[in-house]
Amino acid sequence: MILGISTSLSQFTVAINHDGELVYHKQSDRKLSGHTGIYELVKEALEASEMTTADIEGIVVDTGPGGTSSVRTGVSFANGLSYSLDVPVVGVSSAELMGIEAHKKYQTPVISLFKSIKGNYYCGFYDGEKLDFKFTNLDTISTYINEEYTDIVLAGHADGITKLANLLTINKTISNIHKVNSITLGENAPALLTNSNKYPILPIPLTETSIT
Amino acid sequence: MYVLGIETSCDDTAAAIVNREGDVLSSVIINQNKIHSDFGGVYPEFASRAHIQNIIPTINQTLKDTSISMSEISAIGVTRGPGLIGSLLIGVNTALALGMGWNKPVIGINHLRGHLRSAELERNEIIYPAMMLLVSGGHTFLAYMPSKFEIKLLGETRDDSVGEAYDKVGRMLGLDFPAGPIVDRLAKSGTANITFPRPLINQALEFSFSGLKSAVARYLASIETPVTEDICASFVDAVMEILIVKCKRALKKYSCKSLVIVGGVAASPQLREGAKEICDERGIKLCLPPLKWSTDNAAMIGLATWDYIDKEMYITPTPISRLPLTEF
Repeated sequence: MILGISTSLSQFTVAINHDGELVYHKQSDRKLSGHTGIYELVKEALEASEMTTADIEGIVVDTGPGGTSSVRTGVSFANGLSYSLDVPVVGVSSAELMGIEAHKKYQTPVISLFKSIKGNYYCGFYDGEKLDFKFTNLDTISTYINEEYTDIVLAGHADGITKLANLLTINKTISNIHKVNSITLGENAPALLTNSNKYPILPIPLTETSIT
Repeated sequence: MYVLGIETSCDDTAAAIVNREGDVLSSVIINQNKIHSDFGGVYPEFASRAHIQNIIPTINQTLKDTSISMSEISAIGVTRGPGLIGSLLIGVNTALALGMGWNKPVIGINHLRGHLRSAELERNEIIYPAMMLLVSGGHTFLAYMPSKFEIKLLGETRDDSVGEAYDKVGRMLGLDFPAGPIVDRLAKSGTANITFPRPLINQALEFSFSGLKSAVARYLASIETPVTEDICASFVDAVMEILIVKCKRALKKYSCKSLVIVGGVAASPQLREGAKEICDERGIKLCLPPLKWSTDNAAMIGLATWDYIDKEMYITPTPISRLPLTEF
């Protein structure tokens, strides 16, 4: 069984994939969950799907972008579980999870926006296979997209994608994908786990320079 | 049986394995002094980043350093507060996951109870009733303890902690972080010839150090060729007079059998000397943790965990930034 964990955005998510099938998924509001909500959610997930920690063969955890403390909640929990159970853990970006969902729906390259400070955004480009990051403002990113793309789907920060859409001259689709979907996480967990590299995994982006 | 203690409340990532008697089987502390030295204090965001990188390697090393098996570990004790919230939640979430994976109870520990118990590590014993002075980078207070489990807060700092005052004065003088040991060392070769104020010295058992810190800043601004050693000596003199006067006053009011001094500043040789004098005068026991357990560590958290086990207080840990001393 593979356990999926995401705590980077305003929802805490747990999903369980057993033999390639999504058997359990749940999201709960971060504010209601508190700092240790992911522990309660995982406990609940195991009970509900009648499994124990011994059934866990691998863990996929969302490493952001997202709230810094919030990302670390899930990552520290996933690393601890991986270490104590001696099973692999792999980090996946929240931008990749949104990208996978949007790409499946529209079959077009996706940009996922995450608001940062001083008018900048983390922009995750997903083409159905790989993820590329840029950290910049909307003017710069729109120029880049207008030059490089003919079609694009916009996901992520709702205000950001509305503003970005106004700057784009190419074909664009504003999606209603603003957060990590627990079903996408659960269904894709086995595939994501094959990119396996063991801890320590760090919440990305750590610094602006680490992703440029 | 043993307890695995985990501590991430501020800028040290630590884990330790401790038995009920306070024997420390292994203890690993990864400090972040290099990361924070440029800022002259702890930078919370960087502290959290370092914790998440270091926590699993720290725990792994702690377990590797001993030959005990998982079945000999009764529980995991983890600091739940007080401390920096971003730092606490990494320790707590890691501990909860380890507990789930190893099927061990995870208990949330008050960091301050850990400091108190640090004086009993390696089979040292506090005789109750005891007076406790906690002096660290995060806290400064006096508390009366009729027994191991009862604590009455007598007075705390209104502003900066002693450790903070040391660090800030150190930064003004261009010393490295953490500045405590350097200031103390320089003080020994200087003369206390500058009169710095002793804030609140006549007022009950409360403390205040920001005025003293500002007085040092004003002095530095007013003089062309300051003598670092003399400034350190005068500053340490003021700090020690405040601490000693308050301890004496507290001991007069509450009859005690020991004086316990814990926290990072308990490593100060000047404080150790002054405290010894008080205890000799009154014929009471002075309990000072071995120097390496004075600063933040996980061995003290591990030892404190046994108190919670004895009281059957299996509190599921949630990080609480401002956890009061009187709570478990």
